[in-house]
Amino acid sequence: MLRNTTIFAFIIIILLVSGIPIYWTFVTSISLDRDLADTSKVWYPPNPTFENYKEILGASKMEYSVAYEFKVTLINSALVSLSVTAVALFLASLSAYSIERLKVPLRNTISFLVVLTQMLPPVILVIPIYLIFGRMGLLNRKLSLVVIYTAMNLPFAIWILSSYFRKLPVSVEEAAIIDGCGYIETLWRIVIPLSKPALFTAGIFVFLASWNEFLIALVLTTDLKAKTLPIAISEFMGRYYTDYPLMCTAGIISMVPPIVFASIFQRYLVEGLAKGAVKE
Amino acid sequence: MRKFVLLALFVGVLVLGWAVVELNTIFGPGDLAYYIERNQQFYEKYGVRVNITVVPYGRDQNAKLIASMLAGGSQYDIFIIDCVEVPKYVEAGWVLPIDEWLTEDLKNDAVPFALDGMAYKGKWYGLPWISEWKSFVYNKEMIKKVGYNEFPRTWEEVVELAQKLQEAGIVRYASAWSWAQKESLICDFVAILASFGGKFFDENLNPVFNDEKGVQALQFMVDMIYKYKIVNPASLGWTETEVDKAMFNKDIAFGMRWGLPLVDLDNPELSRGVGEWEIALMPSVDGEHPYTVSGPMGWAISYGTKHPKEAFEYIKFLAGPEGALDAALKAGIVPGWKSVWENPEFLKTVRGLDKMYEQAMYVVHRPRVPWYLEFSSALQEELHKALTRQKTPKEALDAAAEAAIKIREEFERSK
Amino acid sequence: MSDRSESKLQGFKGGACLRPLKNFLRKGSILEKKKRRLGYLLILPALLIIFFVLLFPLVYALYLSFFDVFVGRTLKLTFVGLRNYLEIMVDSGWWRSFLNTLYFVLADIFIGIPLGFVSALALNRRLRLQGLVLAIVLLPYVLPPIVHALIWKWAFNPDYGFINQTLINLGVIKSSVYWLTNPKLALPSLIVANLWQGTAFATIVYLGGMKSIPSELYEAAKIDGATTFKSVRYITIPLLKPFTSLLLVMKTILTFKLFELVYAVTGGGPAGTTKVVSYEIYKNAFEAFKFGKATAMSYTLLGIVAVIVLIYQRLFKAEEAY
Repeated sequence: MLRNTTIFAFIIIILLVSGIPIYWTFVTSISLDRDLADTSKVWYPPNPTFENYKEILGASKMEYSVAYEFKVTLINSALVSLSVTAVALFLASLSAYSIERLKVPLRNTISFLVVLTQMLPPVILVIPIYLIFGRMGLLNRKLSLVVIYTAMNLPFAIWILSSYFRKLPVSVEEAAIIDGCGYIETLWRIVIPLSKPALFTAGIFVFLASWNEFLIALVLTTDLKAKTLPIAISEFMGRYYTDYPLMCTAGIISMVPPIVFASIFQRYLVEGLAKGAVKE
Repeated sequence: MRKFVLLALFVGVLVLGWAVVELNTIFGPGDLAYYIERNQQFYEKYGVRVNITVVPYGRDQNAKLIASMLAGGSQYDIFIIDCVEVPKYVEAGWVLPIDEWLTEDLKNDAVPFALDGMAYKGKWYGLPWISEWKSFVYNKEMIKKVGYNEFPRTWEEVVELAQKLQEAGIVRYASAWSWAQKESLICDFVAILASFGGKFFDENLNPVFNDEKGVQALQFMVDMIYKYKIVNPASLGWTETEVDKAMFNKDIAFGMRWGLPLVDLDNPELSRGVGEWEIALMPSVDGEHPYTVSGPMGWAISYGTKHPKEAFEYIKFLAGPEGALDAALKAGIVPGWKSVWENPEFLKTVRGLDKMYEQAMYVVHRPRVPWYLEFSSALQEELHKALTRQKTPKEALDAAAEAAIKIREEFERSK
Repeated sequence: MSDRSESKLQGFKGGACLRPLKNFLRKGSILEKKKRRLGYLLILPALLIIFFVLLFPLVYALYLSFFDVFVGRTLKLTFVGLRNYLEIMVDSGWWRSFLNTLYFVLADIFIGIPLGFVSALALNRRLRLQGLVLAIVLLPYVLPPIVHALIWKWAFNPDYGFINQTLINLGVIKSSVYWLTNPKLALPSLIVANLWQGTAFATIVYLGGMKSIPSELYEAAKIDGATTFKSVRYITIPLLKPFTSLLLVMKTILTFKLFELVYAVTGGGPAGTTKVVSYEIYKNAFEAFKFGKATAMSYTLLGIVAVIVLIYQRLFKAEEAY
C-alpha cells in the first residue's frame, strides 16, 4: 500500500515537472502582454484572452497574413515530416536487415556515418547543399527538404534498428526461411512486428528532427510553397522585441501534430506488442 | 505577310520582355500588408512585378544572402541591410553603389545619420529605411512625485534623481537596460560611451575606446549597478524585450527604447502607464553630449541583379521621401528624410515626435568596420566581465582592444 | 574459394535442413553470395540518398577546414594547412566552450538518462488516463526549440518569472535569485532547462523498450520469489541495454550540438560562462564569415565525439562478451 502511494506520488511529480513549464507556455499564450509580470504571482492571467489563437487559427484575411502563413507552414511541416519518417523508416528497415541478417559488412560504416551526419552542424553543410540543389533547380521545394532530411536522419535510423535487430532471437526467422519464406517476407512479417519499440523510437526521433529543423529549411525555401513551421515561428520575433504571448501560442499549437503523431504511432505499436502478452 | 508575322513576333517579344521584368526582394517580417499594397501600386505604375521573401530577424538573413550571393547574386535583386552590415557586404562585393542615381536633392533631404549609415568609403549603398535610433524615455508622473518637472541633463543629476525615486519607494530600481551578453549591450554601450565623449576607433581603425573616457563610461555602467544601485541587476540578462516589460509595468522610471517609443507605451493592451511617458534627450556626463545609438537600415541592390535601373526605381518608389512619408503615415516606419520629419501630417500621427526628432541630431553609429559582428561579440564578453566585476573596466576594455586589433589583422590577411 | 563454396553447397544438398541455418549459410557459399547480393540491393537506396545529398557537403566542409576562406562573390581560398586546427587547439575560448558543452552532456548522461529510466519504471503500468499521462510526459520533448528557450528565459527572469515567485511564496528564498546573470548559476540553470527536455526523451525511449519485455519474465521471477528490485536489476536493466546504449550515443551527439538555448537565452553570458561549441561555430560562420575556422571547429568536435562513441561501443561490447 505504502509502495503504491510512493509510486503514485512519484508519478505526480513527474507530471508536474513535465507539465508546469508547458502550463506556463499556455498561460502566457492567453495573457495580455501587460499582465505578464503579474501572471507569475497568481498562476493565472487576470484577463485571459484567446485572441492570439483566433488570429493564428482564424480565417485568414489575406495571403500574407500571420494566420495564413502559419497554417500553410504547419501543413508543409506535417507533410515533410511524415514523408521523411515513412521513407526513412522503410529504407532503414531494409538497410538494418541487410546489415544484421544478410551479412552486408557495413555495420561500422553506418556507425561512422551516424557520427558524421549527426555531428556536423547544418551551419557548415547548408551552403554546399544550397549550391547543389540550386544547380539542379530544386530550391524552394518540399521534396528537396524530404530528400535532405531523409539523408541526414537515415544513418541514425539504420543504426537504431540494426542494434535492435541484433538482439532479436534468430530462431523464428530461421524457421520461417526454412518454411520457404523469402528474406523480404521474413523481414516484413517477423522482424518488423517484433521491432516496434525500436521503430517507435526511430520514428519519433526522425519526425521531430524534421519537424524542428531550422537552418536548411531557412536557406532552401523562399516562400509558402515550401516554408516550414520553425521559420514561421521565428518570424514572430521582432527586430528588438519579442511578442511572448504570440510566440507561446505558436509553440502550443505546433506541439499538437507531434503529440497526435506520437500517440497514434504509439498506440498502434504498443497494442500490437501487448496483445497476448499482458495479463493482469 | 511574312514581314507582318515577324513584326508581330518582334513586338510580342518586346512586350513579353517588358512583362518579365520581375524583382525579388528579401527582408524581415512585419508590415507585409503594407508592402504588398505598395508593390501592387508599383506594378500599376511601372509594370514591374515585385516578389517578396520574408526572412526572420536576427542574423538569419546572412545565411540566405551568403548562399544566394555565392550562386551569382541574382536570386534577390533587392535586400534590406542593417547599418552594421554595410561595410561587410560592400567588402564582399555584394552591393551595388547607388551614387549615379542619388541626386543632390535626395542627399540634402536625408537625415544625416540615416544616409551616412548606408555609406562606406565614400560611396552610397542604400536608401534609408526604418531609420531608427534609441530614444531616452522617462515616466513624467514618477519624477513629478519627487519634485522634478523636467528630466535632468547630466548623469550626476540622473543618479541623484534615481536615488530619490528609490528612497521614496516609487520604484525598486529606477532603471533597467538591455545588458545581456548580446548585440543590445553594445548598442547601450555605444550610447553611453558617446555621452562620455568617447570614441571607438581612430581614422586608422586603431581602438581608442579603452582610453580614459571609455573607462569612465564603463565604470559608470558598473557603478549604476553596484555603487548607486539604480539599475536592476537583472539587466545583465535582459534584452530590449525585458526592459520594455519593466517600462510597461512601471517598474522603472526611465530607460531607452527603439523606434517610435511612445506608440507602445501609450497602448493600453501593452502598457499600464498610458500617457505618462515622455521623451528626453539622452543624459550625458556634462550635459553637452546627449548622444544615443543608431540602428538605421536601408534598401540595397544586389551586384547580381539583371535589372539595376528598375531596382533603383523600386527602392526610390518605396523608400524615397514620398514613399517614406507614405510608409510613416500608414505603417509607422521611422523615416530617414528631413522633409518627412517636417511634415505636419506626420508630426500629428504620434505624440512627442518633435521631441524625438531633436535627438536625431545626436546619433552615433556602432563601429563601421567590415569585421564588426566578430568584434562585437568579443566586446560583449569583455564588457560583461567588467559588469559582473570579474575584471576592472580598464582590464576589460584593454582586452577588447587587443581582440579588435587581432580581428582586424585577420580580416586584412584573408582579404 | 570456389572449391570451398562448392563443397558447402554439397553439404547443403546433403539434407542440411535439420541443422541450424547459421551453419550452412557460412561465408563463401553461393547462397551466401546471393544473400549478400540481396543485402546490398536492400541497403543501396539508403546509401545512394545519403551520398547524393551529403557526400559533397561533408567532403567540401572538410576541404574548407584547411583554408582561409574569404566570402565575397565567390569563396576566395588561401591554403593554410593545419593552421585553423592549431589555432583552435590553443584557443582558450574554444576550450571553455567545449568544457561548458561537456557539462551539458555529462548532466544528460548521469542525471537525465537514469532519471528517465526511473520515470519510465514508474509509468510502466496500467494507469487511468494513460494516453494523457504519456502525452504530458512527451510534451517537453516536442516543444519547439525556440519556444523552449524563450519560456525558460521567462521562467528564470528574476522579477517576472514563476521560478522566483514560487520560491518566494514557498519561503525557500527571501529575495530574487539572479539565475541567468550570476556567473556561477547561469550554466547550471541552463543545464536544468536542457535536462527537462532530455529526461523526457529518455523516459519515452525507455518506456518503449519496457513494453517489449514479455511480462511472463516478471511473473516467472515473482514465482521464484524475486523482489521488485531484483527483477529490475536482473531482467529490466539487462534487457534494456540496447536502449541504454542508444540513449548514450544519441544524447552525447545531440547535446554536443546544443544551440537554441544559448543563442536565445544568454548569448553565452554572463561574461562568457555559458558559451557552447555550436554557438561558436555558428558565430564564426554566419557572423564572421570564417568558414575555414567554422569547419575546422566542426571537424575537431566531430573527432572528439567519434572517440567518445567508440569508447561507448567498446564498453558495451566488452560487457556483452563477458
